[in-house]
Amino acid sequence: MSNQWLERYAYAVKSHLPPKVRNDVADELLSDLQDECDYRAETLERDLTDDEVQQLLQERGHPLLVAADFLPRPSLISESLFPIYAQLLRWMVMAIAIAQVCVGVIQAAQVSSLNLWQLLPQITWGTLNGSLYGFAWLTLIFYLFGESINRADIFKNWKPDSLPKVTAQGAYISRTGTAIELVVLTYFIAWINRVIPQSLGDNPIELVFADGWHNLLPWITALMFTSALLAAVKLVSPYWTRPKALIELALHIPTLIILGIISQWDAPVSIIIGHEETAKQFVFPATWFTIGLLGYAVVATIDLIKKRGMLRAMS
Amino acid sequence: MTEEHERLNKLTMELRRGVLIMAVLESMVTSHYGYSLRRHLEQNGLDVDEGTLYPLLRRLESQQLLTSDWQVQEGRKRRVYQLSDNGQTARITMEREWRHLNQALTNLAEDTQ
Repeated sequence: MSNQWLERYAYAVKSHLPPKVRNDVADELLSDLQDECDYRAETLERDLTDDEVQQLLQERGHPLLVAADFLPRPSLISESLFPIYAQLLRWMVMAIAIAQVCVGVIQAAQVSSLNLWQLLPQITWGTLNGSLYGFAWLTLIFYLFGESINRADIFKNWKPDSLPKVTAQGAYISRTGTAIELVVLTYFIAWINRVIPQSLGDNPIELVFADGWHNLLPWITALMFTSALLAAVKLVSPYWTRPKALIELALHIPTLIILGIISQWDAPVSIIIGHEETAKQFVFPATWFTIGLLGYAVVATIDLIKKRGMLRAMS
Repeated sequence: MTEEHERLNKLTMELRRGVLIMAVLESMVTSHYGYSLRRHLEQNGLDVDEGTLYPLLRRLESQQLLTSDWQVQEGRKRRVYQLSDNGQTARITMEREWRHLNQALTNLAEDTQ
């Protein structure tokens, strides 16, 4: 009777095993269980009762778990390649996000009016969708070719010269913040240069810029472009270096000058809401730009203090 | 307390995992079937559960360190394992490495005393 329980147990384990090893493992398990029963019976000097046999099987664990011990445990990404995989995954998501913003801007440029509330979800969904596909492909590539990749080969041309200088504690650049900065700057360059419409969607809202903007536009564009370029560099190598910190600090100077010039004008920007007959114009007073200028000066000063400590640590 | 216990348990398990391969190879100087090997290890102070031992035996066999064949012993079908030539080389190498590590640990312990 007790052998029947053992056979049932071995049979249950067998059902969870691949055909190739099924009979072999089950036979060995049955033999082991029979030997264990014999040993216990010998110790007790009597045959085991059904309850005792069931207790033994209980100790061995659920057949599924017993079978699992004999199954290979393949991993999609090997442990040694995981850091490379994770890095590539981050770069891929960033590249997809940038590509989606560019596509969104180009598409917006082709239509007469811009619907921001349509464009933003479109870019977000596009990035998420693209990232999911990218994640699947990258994982598949690592799964298929991971065994043949040796991580030492990937970095065999690495030289200690390329090591970044030691920066102050916590002076690494946040990639999330930089990615947002890059997206905002790209969008702003496109918007101020009318690559995308400056009116907001189908609403009869229009921004009217003072004549002086025309002269400042190349300077503002150049400034924004340099900032965007710097953001892209920070995204690729997210740690502070002396040139990066100095360039970022230097960019505060033209920004302050431009804000200073704009704050001198009477009505730098006004907004017109409504149709021709019922249109209402609201002027953004120069005072707002003066407040903006002062606010920016405070931010730039704080940044200067923070970066001064960092630059000292790097020198 | 439980967390601490679990952490220590994990560390011990890690240590045992490497040693177990060596213990199996060492025991296989004489041929064994699974159950007799488990008893042999237990009698020598190394308690190993079946879920660890049998998959390990298969792994060592797939690495050609052990060979096996089915035999009928005491009227029962048993899979009997033996040390292969590769296994014998691995056993000697691991034993040498073990002695080296043991000596290094002894030296370190003496230094810190």
